[in-house]
Amino acid sequence: MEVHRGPVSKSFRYLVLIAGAALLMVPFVWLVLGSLKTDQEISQVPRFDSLGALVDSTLPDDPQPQNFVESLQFMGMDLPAWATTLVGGEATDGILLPRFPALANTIVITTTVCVLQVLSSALVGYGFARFRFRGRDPVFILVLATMMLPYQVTMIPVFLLFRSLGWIDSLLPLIVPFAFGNPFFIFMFRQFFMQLPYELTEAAKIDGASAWRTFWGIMFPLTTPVVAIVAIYSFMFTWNDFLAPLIYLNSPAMRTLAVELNSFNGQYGVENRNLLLAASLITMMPCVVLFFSAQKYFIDTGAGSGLKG
Amino acid sequence: MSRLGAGIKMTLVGVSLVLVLWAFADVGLRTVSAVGAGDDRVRLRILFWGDNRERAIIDELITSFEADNPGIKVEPLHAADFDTKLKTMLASGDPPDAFYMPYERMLGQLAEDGLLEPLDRFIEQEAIEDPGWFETFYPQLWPAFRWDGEAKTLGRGTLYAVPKGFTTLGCYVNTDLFEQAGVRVPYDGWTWDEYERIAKRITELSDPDDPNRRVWGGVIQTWPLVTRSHLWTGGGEYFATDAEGIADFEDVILDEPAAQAAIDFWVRGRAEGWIYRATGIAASENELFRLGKVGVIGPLGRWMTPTYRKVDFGWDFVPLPVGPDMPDGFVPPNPLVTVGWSMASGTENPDEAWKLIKFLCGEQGQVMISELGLEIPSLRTVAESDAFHSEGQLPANSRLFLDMVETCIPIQMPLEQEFRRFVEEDIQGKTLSLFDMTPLEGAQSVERRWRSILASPLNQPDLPKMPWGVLAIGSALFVGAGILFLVLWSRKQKLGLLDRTEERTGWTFVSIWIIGFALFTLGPMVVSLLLSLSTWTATGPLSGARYVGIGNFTEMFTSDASFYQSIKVTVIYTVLAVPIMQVASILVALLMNLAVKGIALFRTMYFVPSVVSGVALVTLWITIFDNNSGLLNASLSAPFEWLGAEAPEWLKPDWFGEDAKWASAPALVIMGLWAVGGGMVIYLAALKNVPSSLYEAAYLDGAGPVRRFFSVTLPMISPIVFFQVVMAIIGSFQIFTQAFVIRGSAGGTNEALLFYVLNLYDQAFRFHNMGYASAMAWVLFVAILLLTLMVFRGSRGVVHYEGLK
Repeated sequence: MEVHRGPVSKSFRYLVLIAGAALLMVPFVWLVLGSLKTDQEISQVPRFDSLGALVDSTLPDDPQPQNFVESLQFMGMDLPAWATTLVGGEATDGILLPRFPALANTIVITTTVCVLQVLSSALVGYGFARFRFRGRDPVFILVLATMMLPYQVTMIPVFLLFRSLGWIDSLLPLIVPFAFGNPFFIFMFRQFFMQLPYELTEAAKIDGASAWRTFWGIMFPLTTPVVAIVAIYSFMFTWNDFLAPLIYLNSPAMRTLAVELNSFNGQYGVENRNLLLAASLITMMPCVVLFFSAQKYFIDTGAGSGLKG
Repeated sequence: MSRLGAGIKMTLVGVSLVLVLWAFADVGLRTVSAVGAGDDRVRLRILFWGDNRERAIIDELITSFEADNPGIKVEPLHAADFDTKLKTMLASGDPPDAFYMPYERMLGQLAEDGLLEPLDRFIEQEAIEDPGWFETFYPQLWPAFRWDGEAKTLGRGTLYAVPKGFTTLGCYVNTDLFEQAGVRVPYDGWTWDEYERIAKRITELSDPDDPNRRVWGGVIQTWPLVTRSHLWTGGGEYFATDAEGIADFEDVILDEPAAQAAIDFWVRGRAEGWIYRATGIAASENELFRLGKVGVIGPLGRWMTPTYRKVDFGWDFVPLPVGPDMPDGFVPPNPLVTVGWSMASGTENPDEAWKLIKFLCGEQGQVMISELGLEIPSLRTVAESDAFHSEGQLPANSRLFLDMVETCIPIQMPLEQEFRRFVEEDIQGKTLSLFDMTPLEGAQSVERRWRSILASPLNQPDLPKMPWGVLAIGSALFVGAGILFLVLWSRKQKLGLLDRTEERTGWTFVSIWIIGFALFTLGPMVVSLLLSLSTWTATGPLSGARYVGIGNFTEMFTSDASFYQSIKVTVIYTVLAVPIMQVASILVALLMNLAVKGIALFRTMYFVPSVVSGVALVTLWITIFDNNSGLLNASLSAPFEWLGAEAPEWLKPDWFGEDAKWASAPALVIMGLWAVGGGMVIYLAALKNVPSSLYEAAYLDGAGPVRRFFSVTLPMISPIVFFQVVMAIIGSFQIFTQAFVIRGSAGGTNEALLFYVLNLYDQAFRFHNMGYASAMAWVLFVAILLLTLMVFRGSRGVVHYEGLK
């Protein structure tokens, strides 16, 4: 329920909302403008002492949309001749479709990890939340404790493990470890399942449904808001993960976008900051789109219906 | 939703589906074709670094090599973070067959660990099969790749690499600025005094009213290698050397007059403003020269030539200035900056690998690299050809690079990487950049810290080997006993039949995590715990680790100042960031929970920033915090300028430089606040879960909005608040990427940015103290664990679980 307010309060709310949004959008606008600037322009000292100077030092004099194609090609995208006539850039001979291994690898890793993580974390979280068993609490503390374990602690030994399996330079080391539930997400699912009333499952229990069927039939469908959040988080973490691909992937055909993004940081510092900004902008777009399309799950909480039904 | 909205949505779903299908098809096809293609050629893997132009050259070389040698397949591995990549591959026992060798930081250690294949036998073979081949190289280069294992000395003994190219050091000059200032270009050499006079004249060309028209006389590069070449121009040195030129690493002579005079000179230049002084995030020195704002930049080598060939002003290359007290005609020694190709001692195909190395160092590759201008070819014939320098090509004075070959000497550095660190922190950072120390204090600090490293019990040569067998059995027994204890202890509680079924089901669900935990956490943790009892460089196999007991922990708590510094930095940040971030997240979530039109759009706008992370995020903020071209400082001082006043200095902080002591933590919080949407979505989901009946009841009871928040909302979302606070504490203790990238952009040495995990990373991957790093990781782990348990304790009675029985 929302309590009715007067028009003054309403416009005040919009004022706050808009001011905050504007403030948060400024770096973003700076990023977009920077990605359209030339190399020379991006290193100018900005002057805001007059309106003219403000406009002059923020807007690109001569917008460079080709920065985007150039930055993608820098990251290993090959375009056939017909595509370059549309978007510009250099054409690669002998290919019919655009090729972009970094993007393909990143999509495969991210979607697989996302699905595996949601499912495994939900199952484990359910186990911790809805069953009483001896040793549960010590094991759950263990789950939490692993969250505090710095990645560096296990990095070299895990690398040795994957090497002995012959998985170096394949996508497996970036996928398999995530099929066993992530402590962060297990905790989220557990907290959520714990808040659901027990009446929901009692009936199923009396009807003799197995725990497995109860989970899939009754509990999991209620978790939509958590699934949405976990999926977005999982997607973001995996999409932007840098250290693991850096360690496990060697050959150019196996790289991910984050690793290619880092290749702008040459041996002698970032050489093309404008291209890097353009590349960052493109790399982050899928996350933005995903959040935008998952909005409704944040708004309709499926959990509410469970309480009332 | 409108028809347009539905249309956009359908398009998005369609595009995503197509992209996902395409990605799986692409990766699948590649995997199938890789498995299907039976390839019985000999496989050689090579590891190198370099920009895209260098990569393209290597790729082209491999194509020609494979054409000439149909039986060999070469896989090029390129690494931006070369040292870490090579060390990880070596440590795993899976080294590339051939790799770049940056001798001054790696040769001694890798040779000592037996990881390099001695190349002398191949050289002898070539002497018969290809007479004269050895002699086509500059003879000055070979000593750089020789290591005497007996005397632990560089420059003689066994050969471990073939030079692919090198450079000598000098200064690049902007001849247009020299002309405008009316000073001569010092082609025949110059002294520090002349440098000062010229730099001052060029600095006077600045337009005082326009920050975009500032000019600096000089830029000096100050990383330890080139700082040493500065010292040499005035007769100074890092270490005392004997008559044969062998350095005595126990005798640091930075505090002697010759070295002090050199450092004094550069400090004065920076203080008086005729040498550009970069602190914090500012335009990179190379960039300033490239943009035509600098008269002289140096010491630099040939590697800048391709970049400067693209500028639109006149430029050239001149020798380094020499100290005023040096005798007439004194030519300072030049540090030999060279990279070779080494062979891993474990390679299965040494003959093929040698063939490849010889080819990679051959004429074809050197001609291509020379035409690019990246380095001086190691083959004299190529260096003297048009490929290195042709008529009309810049720099006109290219000959100087070759003339200085005569004075090149290999750079001798101790095997312990810490010396470089101390020079970076105390000389390059605190003395030359931040002015926190005088040159004498800097020198004394380097010497004191270096002595403490040499005297450390961890660095003694007679440490026993790690008893891996005993430890493996011991830890297996320990883990087994732990599990047994847990099982027996939990069995004490008796269960009924129904409970037994529930127990079995519970364990089944949880077992998914337990399998993953055993494989990817517990096992590796045990290994790293054992490592924390050792010293291990990560370059050799695990069996080379030495046992030190709790030596790492003792060292950490008793004599490592940087350990305490990193704790201080991390705690300050945590105390500042965690409360601010959580309060901000909750406030924004409340704002986003308002039922007003268009709220969906606002939610997206507030959330969007938090999807940017990693390197991209930091790069963006670097352009905002930049001292010169940054958005933030310009915006902060804008209101004053509009009123015609000058903004106060404290409003234009050098965020990650001089003012980093107080400004870096707030700056990182500002960066964090931009991503406030990340916490917001979680709180928003929690707010949505609060039953509206509770609000209705509270409203009917006459509770105002503030009261409703504290009596209804906060208790109802308290589990999430608790969870978020725990996660935030853990996150801020583990802050890494921001600190790593920013410290790199801010000169790389500022101790105000030395976060704990950054310090840990340095120990592991810069100084290769894997044992010490493992010990640090365990200290961090225990600290976080204790802190979390404290939060758990403190939260009892405050956190409400509605569904919990």
